[in-house]
Amino acid sequence: MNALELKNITYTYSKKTPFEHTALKNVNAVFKAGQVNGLIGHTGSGKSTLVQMMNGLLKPEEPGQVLLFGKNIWDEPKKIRDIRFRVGLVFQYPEYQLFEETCEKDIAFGPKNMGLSEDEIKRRVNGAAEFVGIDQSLLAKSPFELSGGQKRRVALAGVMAMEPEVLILDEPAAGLDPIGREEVFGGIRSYQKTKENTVIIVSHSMEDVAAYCDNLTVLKDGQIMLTGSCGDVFKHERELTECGLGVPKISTFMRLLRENGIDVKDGIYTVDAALDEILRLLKKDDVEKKDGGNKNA
Amino acid sequence: MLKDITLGQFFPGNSALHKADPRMKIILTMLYIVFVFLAKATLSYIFVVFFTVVLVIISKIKPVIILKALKPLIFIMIFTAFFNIFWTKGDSTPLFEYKFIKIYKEGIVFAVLMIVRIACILTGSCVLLTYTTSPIALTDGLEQLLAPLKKIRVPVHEFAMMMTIALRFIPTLIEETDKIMNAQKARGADFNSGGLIKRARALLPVLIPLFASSFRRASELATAMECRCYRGDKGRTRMTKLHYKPVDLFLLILMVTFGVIIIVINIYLIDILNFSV
Repeated sequence: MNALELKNITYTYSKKTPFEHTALKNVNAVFKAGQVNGLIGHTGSGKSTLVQMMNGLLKPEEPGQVLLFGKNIWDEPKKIRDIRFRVGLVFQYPEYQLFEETCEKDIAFGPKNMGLSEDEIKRRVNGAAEFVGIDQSLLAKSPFELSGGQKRRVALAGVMAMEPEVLILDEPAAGLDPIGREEVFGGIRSYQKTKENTVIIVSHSMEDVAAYCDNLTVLKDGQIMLTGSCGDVFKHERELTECGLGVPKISTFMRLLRENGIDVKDGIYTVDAALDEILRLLKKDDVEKKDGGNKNA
Repeated sequence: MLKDITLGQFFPGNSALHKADPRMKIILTMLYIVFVFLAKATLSYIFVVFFTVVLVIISKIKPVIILKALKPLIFIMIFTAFFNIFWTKGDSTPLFEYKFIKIYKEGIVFAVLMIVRIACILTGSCVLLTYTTSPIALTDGLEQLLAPLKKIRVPVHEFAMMMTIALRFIPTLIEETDKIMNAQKARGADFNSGGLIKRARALLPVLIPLFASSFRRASELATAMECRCYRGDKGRTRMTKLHYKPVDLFLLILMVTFGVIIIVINIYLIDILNFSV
């Protein structure tokens, strides 16, 4: 089932001025329900514009349509705010949007706007804080006292607390150290596992999408270039490199092994899978050597 | 969208006015305003309009853009005209009389001339200065024009630097505001409904992050400037020195001619088209 379906999306910034710029040209894409969908593209490819289409911050030009579980979100323009509660969008560097006195209040901003009861808000705030690993002691602190990684996770929790059916994250790990990245992606994963909701991760880090996404959509110059499972997409190493994206290093490594006559399987793009594959081959070699030795004897 | 607002109002181009020295353009603008105020006779007003049109042609700025700039001032113009119509007393018999309201021919003429004056001053100073001069060049020119004031310890350079930085960050702040507004909208913030107080409150989630990031930016910029050994005006040299060019002389002659003609009309030709007040 498709959580989000985009049909014929075109969008032009600063229309009819000298600064006119077409960000998206007739984009068609689907994002599957209950999966982690990756959206990748180089800088300026229109990723950020596309995600703002998905929760109704931008309206596609006619006849473009954004379907959320089969229903056009612009059918009732007055209820677009409700769409934003169902499609949660976390912007790039979301920590810059924190404003409340305490983290708890900040996380509660979204649920409060939804008009939920006090008890429900409390439950959601605590739930969201748990997903991203923010301690109870931190909730009472001002967001401006926290470290960069902690701020980022509080901001993530602020959107997760709305418990959106589709959670979109624009470069969630940009500018964080490896531990910070792990914590952020860990939070996203635990949210997705528990809620079984749809997640869309926007990134230009191939390693990240390879590790966390079930399928990928590649955007190039405002158009869809490739779409499919990670394995399928990363087969197009040459095209991806040409448009400035590349593939995970381990994927290139496995291709080079294969080209040099080592019989590794196709479609491996994570370090763990590569390790398993190489170990399997080594074991097979051992067995063959042993067999060969026996024959000689 | 917020981004569409053309702040700073500079329209790049390569007309004579674009190429002229910013110092000269500041002087020309001041002269221009003085000359427009000198105009007395109806004939001189006609000439002012003619000269302003010439300036617009020289600047190669599209008339549509200028009309857009005049649009927000329509209210002020109508307001001024309104008062002039009712408050000007003429010698002849009133054209219209109702109780204490008397409208004279002079009042109507004066009201029209006032509108022409406001429109011309605005158009003229726009094409002479703001539309054809980049904000950086403008502050640069201002700093050098005011340089003599340094002798009486006016911190001219510091003011110019502050202005440059402020202008430089306007687009950045607009972009930032746009981003934060979108981020809060994504969390269900509602900026467009409710009464005045509710709307003002709704802006808090935008203003607080905006202030926080402005302070962060200011301190980052200060550090970056110190890293590049910025220490104020003393001993500072410039990469681009301003030089007066032939085009500046041409514009100055044009402007002086304009002034002379206005004065000549005022003295000798004041009786032609005599609607003057």
